[in-house]
Amino acid sequence: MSRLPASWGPARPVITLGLACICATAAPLLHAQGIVPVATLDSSSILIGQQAHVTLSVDYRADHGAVNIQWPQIGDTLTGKVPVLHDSHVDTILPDKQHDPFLFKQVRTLTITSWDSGYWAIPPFRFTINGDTLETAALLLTVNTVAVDTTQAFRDIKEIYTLPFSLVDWLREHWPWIAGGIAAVAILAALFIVLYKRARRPKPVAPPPPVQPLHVRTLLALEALQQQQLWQQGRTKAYYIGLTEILRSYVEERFQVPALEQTTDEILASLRMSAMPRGQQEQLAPLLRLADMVKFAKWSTLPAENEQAMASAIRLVQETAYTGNDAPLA
Amino acid sequence: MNTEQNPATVAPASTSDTLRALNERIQQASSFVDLIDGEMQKVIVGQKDMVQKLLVALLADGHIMLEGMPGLAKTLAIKTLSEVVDVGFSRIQFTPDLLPADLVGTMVYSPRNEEFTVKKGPLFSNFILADEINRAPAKVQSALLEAMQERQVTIGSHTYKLPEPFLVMATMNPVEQEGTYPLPEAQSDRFMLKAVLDYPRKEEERNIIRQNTGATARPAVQKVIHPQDIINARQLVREVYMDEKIESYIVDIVHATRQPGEHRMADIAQMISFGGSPRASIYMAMGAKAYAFTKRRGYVIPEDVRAVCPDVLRHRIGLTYEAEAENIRVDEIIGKVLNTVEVP
Repeated sequence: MSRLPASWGPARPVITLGLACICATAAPLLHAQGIVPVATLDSSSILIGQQAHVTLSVDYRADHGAVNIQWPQIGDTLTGKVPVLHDSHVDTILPDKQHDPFLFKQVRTLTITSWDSGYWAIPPFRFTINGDTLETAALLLTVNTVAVDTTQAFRDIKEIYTLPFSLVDWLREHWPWIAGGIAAVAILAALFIVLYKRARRPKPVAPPPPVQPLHVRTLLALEALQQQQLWQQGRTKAYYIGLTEILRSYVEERFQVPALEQTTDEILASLRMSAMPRGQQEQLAPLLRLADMVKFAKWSTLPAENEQAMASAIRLVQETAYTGNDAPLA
Repeated sequence: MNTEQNPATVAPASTSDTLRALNERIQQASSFVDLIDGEMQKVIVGQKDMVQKLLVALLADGHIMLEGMPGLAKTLAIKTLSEVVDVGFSRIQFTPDLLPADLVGTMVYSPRNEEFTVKKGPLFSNFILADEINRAPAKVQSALLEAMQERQVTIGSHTYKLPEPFLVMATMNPVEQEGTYPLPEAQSDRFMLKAVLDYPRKEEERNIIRQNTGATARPAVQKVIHPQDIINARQLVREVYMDEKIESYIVDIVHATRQPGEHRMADIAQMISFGGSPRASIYMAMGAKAYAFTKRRGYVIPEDVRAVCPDVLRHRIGLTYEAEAENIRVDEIIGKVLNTVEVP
């Protein structure tokens, strides 16, 4: 403070005392208002693309009441040419905790860069501290371009470099396909196993119907033929075809003679060496010969002959049916 | 069981009566069969089957090929048959140097008349014995087979009909195959029957010795039938009734030789290279009718088909290399077919 003018004369001590009182009263207030935000740049000169850090800090004491600090809003650029790459956000620390535990410091670091050469002014950062608006000093960032040696020949850009094959990289790149393939194979294998087991599982088989004895089946067939009344309708040939087929099937199964593939003479010759009694053989022979005449020689028969043929066939089956002793085991 | 019947084959009373009349007519007309058989038995001991087959071929207007060892009365049989029927007989011994003209005849120049005259060959006879047919080259065989088929031969610019009845009986020796000309399938197919002769039984052979070494001369055979009777009988044979069930049976048998797999005989499918031709079906039907005629019946029954079937099919079924390697014979294949195809 400069000395008071001499013209003030007797008022000089009063003024001096008043100023001293004002200073003594305002000292704490001045101390609170002495909070100064600071912005520093770790490197004021960088190359294009190089990174620099802007550190914003505010020191304050907490032993005289709470301090309300509102930090400036920082977007993705500081100016149009200086983008913010990273914002550390505000961190509060105690810079000298042992000696002065009431001294606090809030710090925020911004990582910046620039892609254009030139001199770029970073505008002041505006803080609001206890309702007062305070600003940091402006910063200047010099962005230099890379010096090009024009005396050297220009070179083409380098070819694309092919990285050597790496299984790890390949797996990392294709793992969804690999995992999907393994899953699909596993699903198909499971499906195959399920279907295979299901196919191998024995299906429930309905029990076969009880087999009727041969003579019962033959007599039923003869009865069915009789009920068709073929010869009564003039279809005598069909009647004898049916009759001989039933009888030949019976003889084949009962006496193991291949009667269906043999002629009448051959059947009779085979039966001579079979278990059929002689009487029944003599009973069968005229029946087969009469049937041959009807089937192959357009022979006309009398109704009595047709009835007699059926009766003879039924009697033959009944007389040669298996008895309890000679019934086949199967 | 198939009891279906085609209404067209249902026998009305009139048809039945017609067949009954035919049956009686055939019973009368076929009486000469017993006479022929009796005369043949005077000279030939045993070989009843061969005589039966000769008659079948004669009545069915076919030709017959006989395969058997020498000395089985093949020549004697057809010579005797020609005497019984009272027809001409020629025996031609086939040799490698035989020419077609030696069979059919040729044109001979007459210096006196200054013109060519026809000299007919031995083919101009009713019954021909072509002995060892496989010893002549193919062109001679071809000349004979053409005459058999066409019943006529051409000499120079004139065609001459062969006499009726005309029957060729060819023989083949199963041994001594060296230097022979086996008949191609297409040529042997022209023979209606191929019979295989076996040796006579012991009892028959004793009788043969007695007949040929005794003091008495061989009995002479009588002419018991006129050639025209044979021609008439051939017409009657064609009239023998064959039911459609028999026709189906014949077709089934022949078809089974072509497609055994379709007739439950897949096991022999690999053994057959080719089966019977449609000519086999025709000859089997004609043979069955002729056989029924010799049994003095006016209708065919399955026995008739089975009687002629082996002789009709024997030379019409080709065996594969597999069959020959396994020593399978055609007769075994035919037996299998006959025992598998269902008889009507």
